[in-house]
Amino acid sequence: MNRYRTGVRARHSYVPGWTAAVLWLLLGLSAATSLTACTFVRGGIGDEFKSDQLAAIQKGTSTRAEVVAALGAPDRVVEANGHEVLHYYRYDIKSSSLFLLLVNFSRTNIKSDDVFVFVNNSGIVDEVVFGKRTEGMEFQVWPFGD
Amino acid sequence: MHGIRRCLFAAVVAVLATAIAGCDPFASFSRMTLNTPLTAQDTVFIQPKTTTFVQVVEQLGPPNELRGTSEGAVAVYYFLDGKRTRINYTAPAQVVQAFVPDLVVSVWGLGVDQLTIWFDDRWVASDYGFAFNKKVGQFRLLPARQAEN
Repeated sequence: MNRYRTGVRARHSYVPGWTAAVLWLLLGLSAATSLTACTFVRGGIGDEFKSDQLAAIQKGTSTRAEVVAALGAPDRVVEANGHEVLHYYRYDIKSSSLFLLLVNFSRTNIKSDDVFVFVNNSGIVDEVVFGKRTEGMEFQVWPFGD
Repeated sequence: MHGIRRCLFAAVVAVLATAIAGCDPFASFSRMTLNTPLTAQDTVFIQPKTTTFVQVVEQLGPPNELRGTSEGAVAVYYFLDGKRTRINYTAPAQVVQAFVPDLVVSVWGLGVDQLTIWFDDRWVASDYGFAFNKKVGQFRLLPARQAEN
Protein backbone atom coordinates (compact mmCIF):
# COMPACT_ATOMS: atom_id res chain seq x y z
CA MET A 1 0.00 0.00 0.00
CA ASN A 2 1.36 3.36 -1.01
CA ARG A 3 1.49 5.59 2.07
CA TYR A 4 1.87 8.69 -0.14
CA ARG A 5 -1.44 8.18 -1.84
CA THR A 6 -3.34 10.50 0.52
CA GLY A 7 -0.92 13.35 -0.08
CA VAL A 8 -1.26 16.38 -2.34
CA ARG A 9 -0.18 15.91 -5.91
CA ALA A 10 2.68 18.16 -6.97
CA ARG A 11 3.71 17.97 -10.63
CA HIS A 12 4.30 14.28 -11.35
CA SER A 13 4.85 12.93 -7.82
CA TYR A 14 3.00 12.85 -4.51
CA VAL A 15 3.98 14.87 -1.45
CA PRO A 16 3.57 13.07 1.88
CA GLY A 17 0.42 14.07 3.82
CA TRP A 18 2.25 15.47 6.81
CA THR A 19 4.56 17.51 4.59
CA ALA A 20 1.58 19.03 2.82
CA ALA A 21 -0.01 19.80 6.18
CA VAL A 22 3.13 21.54 7.38
CA LEU A 23 3.37 23.50 4.14
CA TRP A 24 -0.25 24.63 4.43
CA LEU A 25 0.30 25.54 8.06
CA LEU A 26 3.36 27.61 7.17
CA LEU A 27 1.46 29.26 4.32
CA GLY A 28 -1.45 30.05 6.63
CA LEU A 29 0.82 31.41 9.36
CA SER A 30 2.69 33.49 6.82
CA ALA A 31 -0.53 34.95 5.43
CA ALA A 32 -1.99 35.54 8.88
CA THR A 33 1.17 37.20 10.10
CA SER A 34 1.53 39.42 7.08
CA LEU A 35 -2.07 40.58 7.35
CA THR A 36 -2.03 41.52 11.02
CA ALA A 37 -1.21 44.84 12.60
CA CYS A 38 -0.48 46.33 15.98
CA THR A 39 -0.97 49.87 17.16
CA PHE A 40 0.42 51.61 20.20
CA VAL A 41 -0.99 55.00 21.12
CA ARG A 42 0.18 57.26 23.92
CA GLY A 43 -1.69 60.37 24.98
CA GLY A 44 -2.18 62.58 27.95
CA ILE A 45 -3.43 65.78 29.48
CA GLY A 46 -1.08 68.04 31.38
CA ASP A 47 2.57 67.69 32.27
CA GLU A 48 4.12 65.24 34.69
CA PHE A 49 4.56 66.48 38.26
CA LYS A 50 8.25 66.54 39.11
CA SER A 51 9.46 65.75 42.60
CA ASP A 52 11.42 69.00 42.88
CA GLN A 53 8.26 70.97 42.08
CA LEU A 54 6.41 69.27 44.92
CA ALA A 55 9.39 69.48 47.27
CA ALA A 56 9.31 73.26 46.87
CA ILE A 57 5.91 73.38 48.59
CA GLN A 58 6.29 73.33 52.37
CA LYS A 59 3.37 72.94 54.75
CA GLY A 60 3.03 75.88 57.12
CA THR A 61 5.39 78.19 55.25
CA SER A 62 4.73 78.21 51.50
CA THR A 63 2.31 80.79 50.18
CA ARG A 64 -0.25 80.52 47.42
CA ALA A 65 2.06 82.58 45.17
CA GLU A 66 4.91 80.12 45.76
CA VAL A 67 2.62 77.20 44.91
CA VAL A 68 1.59 78.86 41.67
CA ALA A 69 5.24 79.65 40.90
CA ALA A 70 6.15 75.98 41.37
CA LEU A 71 3.20 74.26 39.70
CA GLY A 72 1.61 76.95 37.59
CA ALA A 73 -2.02 78.00 37.65
CA PRO A 74 -4.26 75.30 39.16
CA ASP A 75 -6.69 73.34 37.01
CA ARG A 76 -9.45 73.93 39.56
CA VAL A 77 -9.92 76.06 42.66
CA VAL A 78 -12.42 74.81 45.24
CA GLU A 79 -13.63 76.37 48.48
CA ALA A 80 -14.11 73.71 51.17
CA ASN A 81 -14.11 73.82 54.97
CA GLY A 82 -12.49 77.24 55.18
CA HIS A 83 -9.72 76.23 52.82
CA GLU A 84 -9.02 77.24 49.29
CA VAL A 85 -8.09 73.98 47.59
CA LEU A 86 -5.87 74.21 44.52
CA HIS A 87 -6.32 71.11 42.35
CA TYR A 88 -3.75 70.10 39.74
CA TYR A 89 -4.22 67.02 37.60
CA ARG A 90 -2.76 65.18 34.66
CA TYR A 91 -3.93 62.12 32.73
CA ASP A 92 -1.81 59.50 31.01
CA ILE A 93 -3.29 57.24 28.32
CA LYS A 94 -1.75 54.07 26.91
CA SER A 95 -3.67 52.20 24.26
CA SER A 96 -2.69 49.20 22.16
CA SER A 97 -4.51 47.07 19.61
CA LEU A 98 -3.90 43.83 17.79
CA PHE A 99 -5.69 43.43 14.46
CA LEU A 100 -5.93 39.83 13.31
CA LEU A 101 -7.71 38.41 10.28
CA LEU A 102 -10.95 37.63 12.06
CA VAL A 103 -10.67 39.17 15.51
CA ASN A 104 -9.42 42.48 16.88
CA PHE A 105 -8.32 43.04 20.45
CA SER A 106 -7.66 46.39 22.02
CA ARG A 107 -7.14 47.78 25.45
CA THR A 108 -6.86 51.35 26.69
CA ASN A 109 -5.60 52.30 30.13
CA ILE A 110 -6.17 55.78 31.53
CA LYS A 111 -4.90 56.96 34.89
CA SER A 112 -4.59 60.29 36.62
CA ASP A 113 -2.15 62.00 38.93
CA ASP A 114 -3.72 64.53 41.28
CA VAL A 115 -2.27 67.18 43.56
CA PHE A 116 -4.41 69.02 46.11
CA VAL A 117 -2.92 71.98 47.92
CA PHE A 118 -4.95 73.25 50.89
CA VAL A 119 -4.41 76.96 51.47
CA ASN A 120 -5.79 78.59 54.65
CA ASN A 121 -7.38 82.02 55.08
CA SER A 122 -3.94 83.57 55.55
CA GLY A 123 -2.79 82.30 52.17
CA ILE A 124 -0.43 79.72 53.70
CA VAL A 125 -0.33 76.06 52.70
CA ASP A 126 -1.84 73.82 55.38
CA GLU A 127 -1.71 70.47 53.58
CA VAL A 128 -0.50 68.89 50.34
CA VAL A 129 -2.02 65.69 48.99
CA PHE A 130 -0.37 63.96 46.05
CA GLY A 131 -0.96 60.65 44.37
CA LYS A 132 0.72 59.13 41.32
CA ARG A 133 -1.55 56.51 39.81
CA THR A 134 0.21 56.60 36.43
CA GLU A 135 3.36 54.99 37.78
CA GLY A 136 3.78 51.49 36.40
CA MET A 137 0.89 51.76 33.95
CA GLU A 138 1.56 49.43 31.01
CA PHE A 139 0.57 48.95 27.40
CA GLN A 140 -1.80 45.97 27.33
CA VAL A 141 -3.48 44.30 24.37
CA TRP A 142 -5.35 41.34 25.85
CA PRO A 143 -8.76 42.68 27.01
CA PHE A 144 -9.78 39.67 29.09
CA GLY A 145 -8.85 38.85 32.67
CA ASP A 146 -7.43 41.42 35.08
CA MET B 1 -1.27 25.67 -17.08
CA HIS B 2 -0.59 24.57 -13.51
CA GLY B 3 1.45 27.74 -12.93
CA ILE B 4 -1.41 29.97 -14.05
CA ARG B 5 -3.84 28.11 -11.78
CA ARG B 6 -1.51 28.50 -8.84
CA CYS B 7 -1.13 32.23 -9.51
CA LEU B 8 -4.90 32.62 -9.77
CA PHE B 9 -5.42 30.63 -6.58
CA ALA B 10 -2.83 32.75 -4.75
CA ALA B 11 -4.45 35.93 -6.06
CA VAL B 12 -7.91 34.79 -4.91
CA VAL B 13 -6.56 33.87 -1.48
CA ALA B 14 -4.82 37.25 -1.21
CA VAL B 15 -7.98 39.15 -2.21
CA LEU B 16 -10.15 37.19 0.23
CA ALA B 17 -7.64 37.57 3.04
CA THR B 18 -7.36 41.29 2.42
CA ALA B 19 -11.14 41.62 2.26
CA ILE B 20 -11.65 40.03 5.66
CA ALA B 21 -8.63 41.60 7.35
CA GLY B 22 -8.33 45.02 8.88
CA CYS B 23 -11.01 47.29 10.19
CA ASP B 24 -14.11 45.12 9.99
CA PRO B 25 -13.30 41.66 11.27
CA PHE B 26 -15.72 39.03 12.48
CA ALA B 27 -15.32 40.07 16.10
CA SER B 28 -13.66 42.78 18.07
CA PHE B 29 -13.16 43.02 21.81
CA SER B 30 -12.14 46.30 23.39
CA ARG B 31 -11.58 47.29 26.96
CA MET B 32 -11.04 50.67 28.54
CA THR B 33 -9.89 51.09 32.11
CA LEU B 34 -9.96 54.42 33.93
CA ASN B 35 -7.91 54.52 37.11
CA THR B 36 -8.05 51.49 39.40
CA PRO B 37 -11.60 50.13 39.66
CA LEU B 38 -12.86 50.27 43.26
CA THR B 39 -15.17 47.79 44.95
CA ALA B 40 -17.13 47.79 48.18
CA GLN B 41 -14.30 45.75 49.67
CA ASP B 42 -11.93 48.68 49.13
CA THR B 43 -14.09 50.97 51.25
CA VAL B 44 -14.63 48.70 54.25
CA PHE B 45 -12.12 50.75 56.23
CA ILE B 46 -14.28 53.90 55.99
CA GLN B 47 -16.11 54.36 59.29
CA PRO B 48 -18.53 57.30 59.34
CA LYS B 49 -17.69 59.89 62.01
CA THR B 50 -14.28 58.29 62.52
CA THR B 51 -12.23 58.05 59.32
CA THR B 52 -10.49 61.25 58.28
CA PHE B 53 -9.74 62.66 54.85
CA VAL B 54 -6.03 61.90 55.29
CA GLN B 55 -6.79 58.25 56.11
CA VAL B 56 -8.97 57.97 53.03
CA VAL B 57 -6.20 59.42 50.87
CA GLU B 58 -3.67 57.02 52.39
CA GLN B 59 -5.83 54.05 51.38
CA LEU B 60 -7.37 55.15 48.09
CA GLY B 61 -5.06 57.89 46.89
CA PRO B 62 -6.20 61.45 46.24
CA PRO B 63 -9.71 61.87 44.83
CA ASN B 64 -10.30 62.98 41.26
CA GLU B 65 -12.53 65.79 42.37
CA LEU B 66 -13.16 67.73 45.56
CA ARG B 67 -16.18 69.96 46.09
CA GLY B 68 -17.25 72.18 48.92
CA THR B 69 -20.72 71.72 50.42
CA SER B 70 -22.75 73.51 53.07
CA GLU B 71 -21.80 70.80 55.59
CA GLY B 72 -18.20 70.27 54.58
CA ALA B 73 -16.78 68.68 51.44
CA VAL B 74 -17.32 65.88 48.98
CA ALA B 75 -14.53 63.77 47.47
CA VAL B 76 -15.25 61.91 44.24
CA TYR B 77 -13.24 59.03 42.77
CA TYR B 78 -13.88 58.24 39.11
CA PHE B 79 -13.11 54.83 37.67
CA LEU B 80 -14.25 52.50 34.93
CA ASP B 81 -13.64 49.02 33.61
CA GLY B 82 -15.55 49.26 30.32
CA LYS B 83 -15.82 46.34 27.90
CA ARG B 84 -17.05 46.51 24.33
CA THR B 85 -18.04 43.62 22.11
CA ARG B 86 -18.63 44.04 18.38
CA ILE B 87 -19.53 41.11 16.16
CA ASN B 88 -20.37 41.13 12.48
CA TYR B 89 -22.39 37.92 12.21
CA THR B 90 -22.39 37.92 8.41
CA ALA B 91 -18.61 38.37 8.05
CA PRO B 92 -18.00 34.64 7.41
CA ALA B 93 -20.59 34.69 4.60
CA GLN B 94 -18.88 37.71 3.03
CA VAL B 95 -15.80 35.59 2.43
CA VAL B 96 -17.64 33.59 -0.23
CA GLN B 97 -20.18 36.24 -1.26
CA ALA B 98 -18.98 39.82 -1.15
CA PHE B 99 -22.46 41.38 -1.34
CA VAL B 100 -23.84 39.98 1.89
CA PRO B 101 -24.87 42.94 4.05
CA ASP B 102 -23.31 43.49 7.46
CA LEU B 103 -25.14 42.30 10.55
CA VAL B 104 -23.23 44.07 13.26
CA VAL B 105 -24.10 43.67 16.92
CA SER B 106 -22.22 45.94 19.24
CA VAL B 107 -22.58 46.40 22.98
CA TRP B 108 -21.06 49.42 24.63
CA GLY B 109 -22.00 52.08 27.12
CA LEU B 110 -21.14 55.54 28.28
CA GLY B 111 -20.37 56.89 31.68
CA VAL B 112 -17.95 56.21 34.49
CA ASP B 113 -18.35 54.59 37.87
CA GLN B 114 -17.78 56.72 40.91
CA LEU B 115 -17.26 56.60 44.63
CA THR B 116 -18.47 59.65 46.53
CA ILE B 117 -17.37 60.32 50.10
CA TRP B 118 -18.91 63.09 52.19
CA PHE B 119 -16.82 64.84 54.84
CA ASP B 120 -17.97 67.13 57.63
CA ASP B 121 -16.42 70.50 58.48
CA ARG B 122 -13.59 68.73 60.37
CA TRP B 123 -12.64 66.54 57.34
CA VAL B 124 -14.12 63.44 58.98
CA ALA B 125 -16.07 61.08 56.71
CA SER B 126 -19.81 61.22 57.29
CA ASP B 127 -21.08 58.98 54.48
CA TYR B 128 -20.13 57.35 51.20
CA GLY B 129 -21.70 55.62 48.23
CA PHE B 130 -20.99 54.02 44.84
CA ALA B 131 -22.56 54.61 41.45
CA PHE B 132 -21.92 51.82 38.93
CA ASN B 133 -22.54 51.85 35.21
CA LYS B 134 -23.27 48.13 34.97
CA LYS B 135 -23.79 47.91 31.22
CA VAL B 136 -20.15 48.50 30.37
CA GLY B 137 -18.72 45.98 32.81
CA GLN B 138 -19.08 42.80 30.75
CA PHE B 139 -18.32 41.41 27.31
CA ARG B 140 -21.72 40.50 25.82
CA LEU B 141 -22.65 38.95 22.49
CA LEU B 142 -26.25 40.20 22.33
CA PRO B 143 -27.40 43.74 23.16
CA ALA B 144 -30.87 42.62 24.23
CA ARG B 145 -29.52 40.56 27.09
CA GLN B 146 -29.67 42.34 30.42
CA ALA B 147 -26.41 42.98 32.22
CA GLU B 148 -25.88 40.74 35.20
CA ASN B 149 -25.62 42.25 38.63
